[in-house]
Amino acid sequence: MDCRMLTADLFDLSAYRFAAPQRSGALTIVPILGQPSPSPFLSPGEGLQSKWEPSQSVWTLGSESGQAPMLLPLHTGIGVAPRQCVLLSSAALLPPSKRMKLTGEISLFLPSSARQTFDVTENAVLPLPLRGQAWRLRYLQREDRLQPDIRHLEHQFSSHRSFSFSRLLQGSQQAAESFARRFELLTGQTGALFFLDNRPVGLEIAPSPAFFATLWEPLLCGCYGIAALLHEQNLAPMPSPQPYDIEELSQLRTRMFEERHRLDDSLAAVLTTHSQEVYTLEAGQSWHNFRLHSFTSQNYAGQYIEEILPPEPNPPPETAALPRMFRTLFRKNPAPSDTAPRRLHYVSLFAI
Amino acid sequence: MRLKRDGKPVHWSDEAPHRNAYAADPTLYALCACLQKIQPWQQARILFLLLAETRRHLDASTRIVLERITLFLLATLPTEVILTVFLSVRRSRANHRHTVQSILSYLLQHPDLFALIRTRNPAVRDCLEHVLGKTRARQFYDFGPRRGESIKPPALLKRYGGSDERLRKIAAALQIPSRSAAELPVPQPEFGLPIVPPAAFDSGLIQTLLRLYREGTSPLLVEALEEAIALCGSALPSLSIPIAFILDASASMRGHSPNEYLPIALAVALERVLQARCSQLRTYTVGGFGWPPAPEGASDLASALLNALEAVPDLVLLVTDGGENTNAGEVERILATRVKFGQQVPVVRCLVATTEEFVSETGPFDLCVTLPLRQEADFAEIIQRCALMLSPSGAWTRLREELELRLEQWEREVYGWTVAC
Repeated sequence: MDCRMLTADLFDLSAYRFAAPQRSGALTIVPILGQPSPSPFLSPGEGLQSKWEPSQSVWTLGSESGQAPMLLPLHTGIGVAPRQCVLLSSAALLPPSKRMKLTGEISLFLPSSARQTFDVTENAVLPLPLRGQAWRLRYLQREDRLQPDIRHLEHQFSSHRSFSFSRLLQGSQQAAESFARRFELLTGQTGALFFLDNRPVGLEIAPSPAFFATLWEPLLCGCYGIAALLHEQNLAPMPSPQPYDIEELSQLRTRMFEERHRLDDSLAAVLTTHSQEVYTLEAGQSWHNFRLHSFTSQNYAGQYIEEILPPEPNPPPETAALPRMFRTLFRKNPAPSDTAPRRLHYVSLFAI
Repeated sequence: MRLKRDGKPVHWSDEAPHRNAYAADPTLYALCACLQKIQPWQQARILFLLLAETRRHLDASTRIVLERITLFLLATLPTEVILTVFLSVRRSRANHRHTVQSILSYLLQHPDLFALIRTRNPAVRDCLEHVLGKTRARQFYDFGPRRGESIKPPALLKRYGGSDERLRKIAAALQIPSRSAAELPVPQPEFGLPIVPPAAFDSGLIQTLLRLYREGTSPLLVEALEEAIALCGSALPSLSIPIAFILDASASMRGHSPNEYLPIALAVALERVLQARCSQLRTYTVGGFGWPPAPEGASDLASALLNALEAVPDLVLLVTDGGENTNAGEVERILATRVKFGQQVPVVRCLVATTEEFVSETGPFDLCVTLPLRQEADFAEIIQRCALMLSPSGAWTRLREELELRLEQWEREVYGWTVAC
């Protein structure tokens, strides 16, 4: 166990670039671009195989590829058989040509209400309001452990008559689908920072742009979109649009960009205040140089995978391409206990 | 429009707009029955008002148009609907001369009159009693074969009902109570015209563009696209005013399988057709690259709108798939600011929707007109709406002329017993 300050020295995000924030309703997304070098990880869509072992009464997972490891992201759905899906309560590294049981170290849960009538959906992600509870109960070996919370969530959505958890996991929840049109996935995007009403609620980084593209819609519509819908439901109806406070019409463009910068600055300020948290770090699975870590703090939890690189004689200079809001925030690891350079491959951080 | 059991006059949800439109311009209101995509229940409401309202204060030419539309609607609407309209007219106690004439000519000259009486005897009797008066109607029922030759049918009935022999048969049929409606279907006249959009819209413009997106460009496909654009454009009116076209080619315009690339194809098709029909069109593409623009990148519609407004267009057409993405609400704020400075510019927002639901999550968009863009057939309405916003008087005249032409065309195709007489 290790106690550090959250994000200030946990992740080294200096190799990534941040695009302009996208805002719609209560949700704000800051796209994260770039990946220092090609990532070895396959996504579950690239040949995940599941098999029922009757002797042990357990599902096992394996990868078709004999060379590359596979990354199973945290809280995503994996179709094990036609109309059956499990949700991972932990991220997992699936080494090539090895099979992994769906119990034990990567404990899994099956939402029993959804179990019978489930079409396999690629990468359905657990809604944000349930992730905290799922994280707390991740070692509990009961398939119905989330049932009270799922019922509570469905009750909260009583105004959306068509809402149901199993339909959400199938990706056919109409109310949440609208988020796919409200936000854009950029070319080369490997991650995103999610803000709900100016509070950071999530940081998701995938090993490659193609990997992130498979996660984008489930994360947007199923996970953070649901939280935004819940939030917007309790807000007052949108007021009529306010004209910009300007003296002449020629100032319109300047004022619009000023307001954008003001909003961006307020995001950065919010991040600085929220990112100073004490967290506990837990070492997890490891394979070759890759390490899976879990962390929990008062308001956030999550997992990340980093690769420990051989020490370089001349470390590359820090990139100066960061927008000003993030330059100070995610600074390079000051002096960790071991000085070996590390490379981040996967992060899933969420508010609990 | 539904008849309740309480026997009170009929009301419906959008009654006020209907009545206001009729009061403002009866001819244009009636001609709306010939609109391209009008729904049958709206046509029924138009028919009801045409029958129930007096025409005393109208001039002769207006009356002729109203009568033509009445006859056209009587010929095309299903008999079931028309009976409901007649019974609603009865509830509102409207008994003008044109009402009586329309109801009598429809009922008595119906090609399947006897089948109609067999299935809907009480409804037919109610309609007849309404237009003839209860006493005269009952006298007519007695004109059956059992009574002597001495009783004569009312003169009004003779005018529409034909020979004494036929009237005698009708009266006899009316005296037999009808069987349950489930037993016999209500007869439908065979020559009712199903309202279909003209064939000019069936070109494969969208399909060609979709192939371009999915399979890549080839000279053959580009040639086919140009032909399709010319064909589609020829059916549309031309506009000769400066228009700014903001084309959202952001990543989300790609859509999902099985309708992948459909949103961007619809938007690009509209842009190409407008290029052909509007000499002063300027396109501002948001995101996207190459030709045809591949959907990519964020959609900063507000900056594009500011760029477009700098060229002082007469109209801004904004084609997008939902909210603006970079900062929601900025487009509205820009428009609100321009209203404050008295420099309002008409904005038409076309929402590309590949699913049935209409996107409304972006909040109130009062400052511009929002139209759905789902298929090629919507282009005509969008261009029509642009023209209406630009020069209202001229466009109304054009719309009226267009509708009159369509009415004439359809009248030639419907040689029903109502239109022909």
